[in-house]
Amino acid sequence: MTARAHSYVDSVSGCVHLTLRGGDAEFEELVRAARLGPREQSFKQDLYLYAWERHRHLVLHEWAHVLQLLSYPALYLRAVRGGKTMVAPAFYLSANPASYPLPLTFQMDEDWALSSLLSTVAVRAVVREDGVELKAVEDSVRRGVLTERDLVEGDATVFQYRAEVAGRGLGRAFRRWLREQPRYTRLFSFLAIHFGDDAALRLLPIMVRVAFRSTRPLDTFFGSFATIMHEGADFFERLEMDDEELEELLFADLRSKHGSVAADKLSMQSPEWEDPYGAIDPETFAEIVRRYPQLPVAPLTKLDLEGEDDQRGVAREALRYPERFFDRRKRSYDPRLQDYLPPAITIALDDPDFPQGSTLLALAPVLGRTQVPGLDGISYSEMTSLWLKSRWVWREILSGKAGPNPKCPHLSCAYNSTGLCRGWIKVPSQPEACEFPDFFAQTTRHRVKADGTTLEPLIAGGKE
Amino acid sequence: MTMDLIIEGQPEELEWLRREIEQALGGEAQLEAVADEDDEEMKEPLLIALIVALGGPKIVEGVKEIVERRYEHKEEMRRLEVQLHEGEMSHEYKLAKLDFQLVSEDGSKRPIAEEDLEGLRADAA
Repeated sequence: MTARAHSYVDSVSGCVHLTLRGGDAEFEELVRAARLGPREQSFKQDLYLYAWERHRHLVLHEWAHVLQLLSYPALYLRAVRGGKTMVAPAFYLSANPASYPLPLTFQMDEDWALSSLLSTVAVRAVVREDGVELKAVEDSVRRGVLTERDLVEGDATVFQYRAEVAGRGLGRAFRRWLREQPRYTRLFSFLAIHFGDDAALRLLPIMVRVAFRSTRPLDTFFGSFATIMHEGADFFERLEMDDEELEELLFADLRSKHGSVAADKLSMQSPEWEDPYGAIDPETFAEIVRRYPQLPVAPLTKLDLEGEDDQRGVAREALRYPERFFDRRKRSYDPRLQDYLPPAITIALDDPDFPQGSTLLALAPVLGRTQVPGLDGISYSEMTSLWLKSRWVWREILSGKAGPNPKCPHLSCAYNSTGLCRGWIKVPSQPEACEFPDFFAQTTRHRVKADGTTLEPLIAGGKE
Repeated sequence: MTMDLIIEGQPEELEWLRREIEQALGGEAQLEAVADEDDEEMKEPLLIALIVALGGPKIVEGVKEIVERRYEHKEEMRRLEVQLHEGEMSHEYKLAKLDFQLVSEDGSKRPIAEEDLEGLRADAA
């Protein structure tokens, strides 16, 4: 079986990656156009439109993840820390000039390693008459076992449904829609067993939003679950509150039980594991964004929190009420969402004839208009390009894969044999034209020795 | 407390079973579909297991009937594989083995054979 096509959102950069397949004539035409002129503006526009029109369901789902990342404080903070661990090896090398034998080996501190796994920790909820008991489990193939990923995916699935049908929907219709395609269903199934289909559909995204407005999303989710079980889902339905009011009610309940965490207790210098449990208030979130504005989604977050009247709160409103922003017939979206497009989207076609290096990178317009605080004259577009390169390069290096770069034909290059450039996207026709050695030297202050066995430090000015 | 049946197998077959069980038994089966979550990224779902509550003979019979019927729906599963793999049309779909486990009331798991599903009807009564 060949590798499956896929789409995903990088939870640190907020970049949407789409690798598309299709047996249609339009797909084949795009592959042909890529071979003839991958740098042509018309090809780029056609590829972008193809993704949005023919794979709209994928784009909507991934867009939901971007809206979550930019507006859920716990996800934003986790991305900030992810960014720190991403650049840590380059910073270390920069600050410690020396000869290092290749391949490089790095080991993450135990608390940071543990924190990086929090989104996949599985918890089993045993629902009893007197409450809900939670246990961390290793075996996720058990009834009632959920992870943070289930929360995030369940929430994005409801967003996608409401955006696609351009309506709130009912439980039964949602259940039918879930059957149409492979979709995440576990969280809805769990809630539907206890609340019924209609209440599960309504309460799921509300509970998830409250969960990620705290420092312990799973605990908070099940805290809300226990509260709803105690009162009965019907009780919350009868309150005649809209979704935002209900969310604030559950958030106030969280705050009354666990208190709020101050911004100075939530530092990117300490691992998530050490965060005290509590609510992250809106002012605290705004302070976190001010302190850590380096994420590509940061300008979007800032707009959502502090933008002009017509921009502020749009991302949160879109997550609460997707149906207000999408039109089923026109297949378009509300222009207010224009400023909340994913900061970066890469689009590739999974076809053997799609040329290496033809992947389209589309940066959100808002990034070009916004300067990075503290970095004079540098826009988020420039920073995001550098950020993406670092992300791709270091992910590959830290994955521990050994051996030469399989995507590059220049076997005589000293970098190729080390595999350090595996995550570098652009493969030049001549090795002398490769931009990777300069990138590596600028970010680490080191370069690969000609025989490919060692990293050696640069001295000031970039010369030995 | 009812027993749970865990079905593990290829994503395409599990996806087909998920849809059929939902269609035939709806919420009664208390179906939970478990997706692969073994990396950091937020990506599209790939099923690794289904959990069905064996809440009575009707559900056991329904599940057994659907499991048996999958042999007749090879073509449909091939189409599902195409959905899972976003348009890939080129390879032959082959049915793979499903693995069944029963979760007892005390929480212990034990493997069972497909033929044993028949015998579970009485247990679920």
